[in-house]
Amino acid sequence: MNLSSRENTKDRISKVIIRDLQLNLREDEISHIKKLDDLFGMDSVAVIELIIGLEKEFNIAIQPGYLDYQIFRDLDALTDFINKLVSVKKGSDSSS
Amino acid sequence: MIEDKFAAVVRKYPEHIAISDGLKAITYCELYSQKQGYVQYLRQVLHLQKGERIALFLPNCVEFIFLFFAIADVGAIAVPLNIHLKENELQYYIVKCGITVVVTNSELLTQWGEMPSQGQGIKFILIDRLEIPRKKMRDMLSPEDDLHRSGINSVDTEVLYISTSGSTGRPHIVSRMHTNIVSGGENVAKALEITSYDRFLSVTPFFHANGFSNCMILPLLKGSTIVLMKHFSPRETLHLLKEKDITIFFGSPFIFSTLTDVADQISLPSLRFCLSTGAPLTEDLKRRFFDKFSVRLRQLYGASETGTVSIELQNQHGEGSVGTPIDNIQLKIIDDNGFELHPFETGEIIVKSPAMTKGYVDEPDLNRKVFHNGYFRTGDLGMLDDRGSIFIVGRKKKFINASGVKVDPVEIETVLLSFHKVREAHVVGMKNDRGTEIIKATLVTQQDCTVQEIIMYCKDKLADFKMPRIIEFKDSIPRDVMGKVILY
Repeated sequence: MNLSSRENTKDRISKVIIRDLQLNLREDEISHIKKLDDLFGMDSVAVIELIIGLEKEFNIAIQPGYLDYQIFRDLDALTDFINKLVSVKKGSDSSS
Repeated sequence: MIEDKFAAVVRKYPEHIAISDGLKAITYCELYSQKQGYVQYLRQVLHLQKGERIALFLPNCVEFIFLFFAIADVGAIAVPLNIHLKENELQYYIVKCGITVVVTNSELLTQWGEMPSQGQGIKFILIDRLEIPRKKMRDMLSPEDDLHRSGINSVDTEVLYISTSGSTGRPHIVSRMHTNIVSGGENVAKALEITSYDRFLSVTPFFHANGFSNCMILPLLKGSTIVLMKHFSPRETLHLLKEKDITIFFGSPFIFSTLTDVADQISLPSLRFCLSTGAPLTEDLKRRFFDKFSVRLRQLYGASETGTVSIELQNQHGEGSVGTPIDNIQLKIIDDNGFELHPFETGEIIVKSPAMTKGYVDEPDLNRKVFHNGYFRTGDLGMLDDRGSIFIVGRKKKFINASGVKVDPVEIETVLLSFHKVREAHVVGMKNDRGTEIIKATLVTQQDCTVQEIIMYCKDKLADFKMPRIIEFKDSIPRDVMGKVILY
């Protein structure tokens, strides 16, 4: 995964966070912060809303077994997690 | 009392599955056996006395259930607490309820970094580090057991303290007696015709009044099976609803809205009742849910103080109705002077029920204000139609419905105002399309201040679900001559 692709994923995640959690923050405020719950209340409801938003944005399914709620508080870890799911999906789509 | 009801169910359905948590299935006989082990532990190791208060700071798990029935058995009082509370919030409940023992687990304890102070003689028990021996089968349900219990509990013995939102900045504690818990369960069981063949998917946390009564007590009073979920996940919920042939499911508009979002059209033929509570259910969500699952979503109305009041059981209630009162519930609509109103006239809903609390713990003034002639003033504004269907139109008491939990905005404002940079704070709930509310804080600061500073300050003082999601800074908050915020 190259740098620009990673940044692109991060930007898209930031957009989803602002849109789906209905925050009054700018994208740059989100993308420059490491821990998301330093910027807003990140409760379990916010995590579920974020999961649904990310599934739609990236056309992926986040299975319950994958759920480590701490990932959703850390933007870098979340970016890597989403990129991994997207790659797995691309791989399975191309082999089928 | 409740222990006798439970023992009768165990005698009737000893080999029936009581609880399944994905890892193991526990029969009623095993549940009783395990519960007896806890009774022995509470009596002989903790020396728990009648009336002592023991906090259950646990997610939905089998141990919560063992412990509740064991606590009831020894005549003590269980205090289920929201697992998202921060240390200072937990401290409030410890003092307010006079808690002497807190039962939690290692996972929850890690969120505080270390074991909270035990300086006040509070015992913290980690349930995952306890080894509770099951009582031998031959000792179970024996006359000796009955002798141990006899005389400990009467119908009006307190057995549960449950938290509810306040209106003065701090939550109130609702006291429930044995008879309230049993009556509440029996009333709903009759309305839904619950049998031992029913299977409940229990997602709503047991520390929530609805989760406790309808997802835990109700199935166990009827010999039904509980399929436990520790945390809500839409996909896992859908999987379990289908794979476990769930017949009864209690949720909230948020839960049903997310299920509708993630699911393709699937059939859930076993599902008899899908009941929504905690916030108003929109007709749009009902329609979308029915289109996806061919199951009708029904509204349930109740309160921590009263238990379940009404269920939208019939299809012919008018749009927006929360149904008619279930058996043993008396309900009236009154005006500001306390006079009963006619159908289609709007006033405050008052309720009388055997499931109802006798009052808030240690709140004599408040109790005088909200309990009149055996009726509880709900603070909800509503009306009845000519067929007795109830319609909720608003609330007298102000709170925010955050994640299905009612939060007093004053509690959040108090924390915000304790930050040295904040001069004024006004907190409101902003409705979102999932039937819940987002917490918004408007602040006037003394000096330059960032969102991050505010969040970092509140983080250790407010549970995550009480944290503002939107923070905006203003030069002033408009107020009227009385100092009341002018809504904007």
